Amino acid sequence: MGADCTAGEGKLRTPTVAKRRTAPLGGARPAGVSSGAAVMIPEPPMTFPRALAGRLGPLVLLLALAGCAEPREELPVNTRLGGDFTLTDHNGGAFRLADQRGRVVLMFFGYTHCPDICPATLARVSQVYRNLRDAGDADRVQPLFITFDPARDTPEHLREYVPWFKANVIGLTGGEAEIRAVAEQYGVVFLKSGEGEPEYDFTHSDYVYLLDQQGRVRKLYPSDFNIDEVTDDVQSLL
Amino acid sequence: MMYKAFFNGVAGAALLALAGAASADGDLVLEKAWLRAVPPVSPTMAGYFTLRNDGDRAVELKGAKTDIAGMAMLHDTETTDDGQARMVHLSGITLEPGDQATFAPGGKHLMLMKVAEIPEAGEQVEICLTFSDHDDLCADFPVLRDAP
Repeated sequence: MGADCTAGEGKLRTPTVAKRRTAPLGGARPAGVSSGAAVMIPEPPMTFPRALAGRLGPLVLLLALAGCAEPREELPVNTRLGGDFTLTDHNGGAFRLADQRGRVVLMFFGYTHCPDICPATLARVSQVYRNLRDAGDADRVQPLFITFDPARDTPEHLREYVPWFKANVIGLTGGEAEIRAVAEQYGVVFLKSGEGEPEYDFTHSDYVYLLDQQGRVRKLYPSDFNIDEVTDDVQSLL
Repeated sequence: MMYKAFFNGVAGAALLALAGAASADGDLVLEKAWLRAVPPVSPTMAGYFTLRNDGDRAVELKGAKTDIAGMAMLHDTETTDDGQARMVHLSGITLEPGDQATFAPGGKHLMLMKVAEIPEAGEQVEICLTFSDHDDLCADFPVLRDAP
């Protein structure tokens, strides 16, 4: 269980992810419980009798293992990144993020000419969506794919590309300046390489963003995120 | 083609077996070959495999060719600690005796460009790896939606 709930944690490379606190139980920490696993232990009173500490060992272990399931720690709000924006969806209509209030949003940036990471990330996000759909949560979750290649990723092109993943993904494009502004809001860096050549590509950040029902950034994931972890995180915000 | 006919006869094993099928040319062993299925409108596809040099001399993998793509290149996706992914072209990979090269999502991949008609999941595509000093090594790559 402990291994399940922390799977993928080691890959997180973002300061917005909550640091796991160690259990403040001093000498009472039982052998076999790593400091990172005992998250849910409340601070004991200062007068905590040391004589009891040893007896609590097994209880601490149980709590630590149960801590993965519930109650879970609330995801912190990232106040440095995010914000509303308006782009063009793959049907050619205006898309405003604020209109998604009441839905949890999974959002990431990429481009359809990228053969490796972008379709893999789309496939993984789609799997998260299908898990949530199976759990009956489909209408409260919205995956978004924002291109930074508007020259090639037109609404028409995205309309042929995105629905293939069968996960209700909305593809978003727009003017170069508009897209760059959104990228800056979310701390996304992208750089065109091979400019002027027919086959150019991008160096880019590949984070996936979890936005809560108020549109606030709650967590970032690397593109090879753990599907169960993201599914659980989304459900914690519903 | 023999192994394909054989696996087709083994009910239920098809996908896994094909994904795990090895193609060997004496000293070189190609395994875990697959292409990621992408929407038909995609201009590119990525292929993955492992290649092991069981021979007693070094070989240099230079590229690949396939009828479905106008161009095939060896690429690497480099990801830095701050989450920047970048594609770089590899001009060649030298495999010393005993070495293995792993092409897997998020890392080295075979990039097929100018793909005239994107094959669907479940299809097989013959791809030949090319070397500077060795015969081509050809294998059927199954097209899969997810990593096997």
